[in-house]
Amino acid sequence: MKYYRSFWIFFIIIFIIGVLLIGTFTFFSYLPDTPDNEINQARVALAGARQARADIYVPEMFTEASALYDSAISNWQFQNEKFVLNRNFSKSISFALASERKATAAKKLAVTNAANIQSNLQLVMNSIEKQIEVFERAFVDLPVREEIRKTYQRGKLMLSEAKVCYASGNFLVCNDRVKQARSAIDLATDSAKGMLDNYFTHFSLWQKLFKETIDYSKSNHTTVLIIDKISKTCRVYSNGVLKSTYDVELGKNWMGTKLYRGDKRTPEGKYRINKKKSGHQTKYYKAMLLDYPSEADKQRFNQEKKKGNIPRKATIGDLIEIHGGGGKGVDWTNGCIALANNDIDELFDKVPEGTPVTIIGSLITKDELLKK
Amino acid sequence: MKNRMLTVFAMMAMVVFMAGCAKVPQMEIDNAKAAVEDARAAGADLYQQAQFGAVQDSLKVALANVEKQKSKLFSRYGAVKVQLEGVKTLAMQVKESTLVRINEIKQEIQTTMTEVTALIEENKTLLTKAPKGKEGREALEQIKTDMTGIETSVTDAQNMLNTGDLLGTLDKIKAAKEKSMGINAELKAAIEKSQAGKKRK
Repeated sequence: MKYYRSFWIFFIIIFIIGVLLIGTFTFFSYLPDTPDNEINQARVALAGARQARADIYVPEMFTEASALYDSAISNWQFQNEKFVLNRNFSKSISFALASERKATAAKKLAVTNAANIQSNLQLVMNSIEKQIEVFERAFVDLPVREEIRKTYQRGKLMLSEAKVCYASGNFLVCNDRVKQARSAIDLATDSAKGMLDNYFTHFSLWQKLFKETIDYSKSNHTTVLIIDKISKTCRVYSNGVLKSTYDVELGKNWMGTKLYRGDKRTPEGKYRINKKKSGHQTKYYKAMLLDYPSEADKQRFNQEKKKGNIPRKATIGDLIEIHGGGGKGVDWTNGCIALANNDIDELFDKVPEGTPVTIIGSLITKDELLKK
Repeated sequence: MKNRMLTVFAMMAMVVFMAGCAKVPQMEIDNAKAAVEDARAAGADLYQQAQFGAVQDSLKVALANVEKQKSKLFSRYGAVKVQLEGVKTLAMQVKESTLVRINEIKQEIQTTMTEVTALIEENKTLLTKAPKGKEGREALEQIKTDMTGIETSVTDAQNMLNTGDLLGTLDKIKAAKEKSMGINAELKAAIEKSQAGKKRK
């Protein structure tokens, strides 16, 4: 009897354990899958994207991928608050998968963008360098306005900064500096080109004046002087043939013809040597006074005054000379043409009073000048 | 016998109940998060980007592990606590190294600024000695404009430094230094050339 009772107790215990085991197995098999694998993959993808600087090169994509990751975590947290059998991690998993896809794509694009920006920066910096070379060659000797010069200078400094940033791998700041450099150099170049374009609108007149003067020299078998402002030379022609060339220095604002006293411009047009001075007659070693202002100058002066383009109290000015004291390497006169003393010595002996002097902007075209 | 078995069952149930109700290590989580924010506030995201990225990633791992434990029927937070402590320590180290880096940059800026200022002064002296003949004068005018630009750049750098933009300041002042060194070399070469010419005469 006792044996049967123990058997039943043992049987019941085994039965209960069996039921518990089956119950536990059933319970665990109904537990939803947690999103930890997917979230881990998304996190790894995000870390890779950040390492590739996706936050900088594709910020929107990176932000989106991060937001999807945060949503996956939030949803996981939310589901964890529920009773264990009511949890559903499918949303969290889908957020995590989307985050991983986005982060992977962001990383890929960031790498491409970074490489593109890097190579593009190098190209743009090279092209700005070339632009600077052109500016140096074509415009640096021109009396461009102070603000143009300053803008150009700022552009050069920005390019230097861009190079420093490029060397330190800071490509986005480099890109910013390159843009600033480009815009400053473009502005300076455009302004200087504009000045030159404006100046060269007189080119046909200069050609005409030059031809007339050379023809005069040929037909009268005489010596004439051509002052070429752009090349800063005084050319001596006899019987229409070029005999010698001297370097000259002009008024500080030599571009454009002289309009009034004090504008520091050298006049343009046809003149003659009125008087030759030396010794105590001039403070510039030797000088040859021109018959400025001509009738054309007076007419222009009156017209411009009427238009209000020159100050009301301004006078036309006089005493424009070809004189010594030059060779300073900079345009410094108030409108006169300065030669080095040894050059004025030579010229002084070659030309008598009454010699025609034609002052023009340039003998070569603007395009030829820019190509030089 | 029956009583003994019931006691065993009761104890097992207690253990299961206790294990299932392990507490989320909220203090450790808060501490780790605060340490990461501290590092960010110190400028780690700017001056120690790679290290700060690693810290952020570690925090993400730890927080994901917290959720993983929460999802389990029997949560165990021992390992997560250790992880969170690790994040906190790492974040503090990153903060420290950020402060060191900031000091280094500040020092570099200061040294470069002093060098640039000295170069500007030296260049001004050299300008007075440079040859002023034909073309020389024009070039000197150019150099003067360049030098004015550099001085403006130094002032800009000082202003940037005052706003706390250390990396921007460093780039600016380094560029100013390079430009000043270029001018210095150009002036010295011109002076040397002109002195050599005088000696030949």
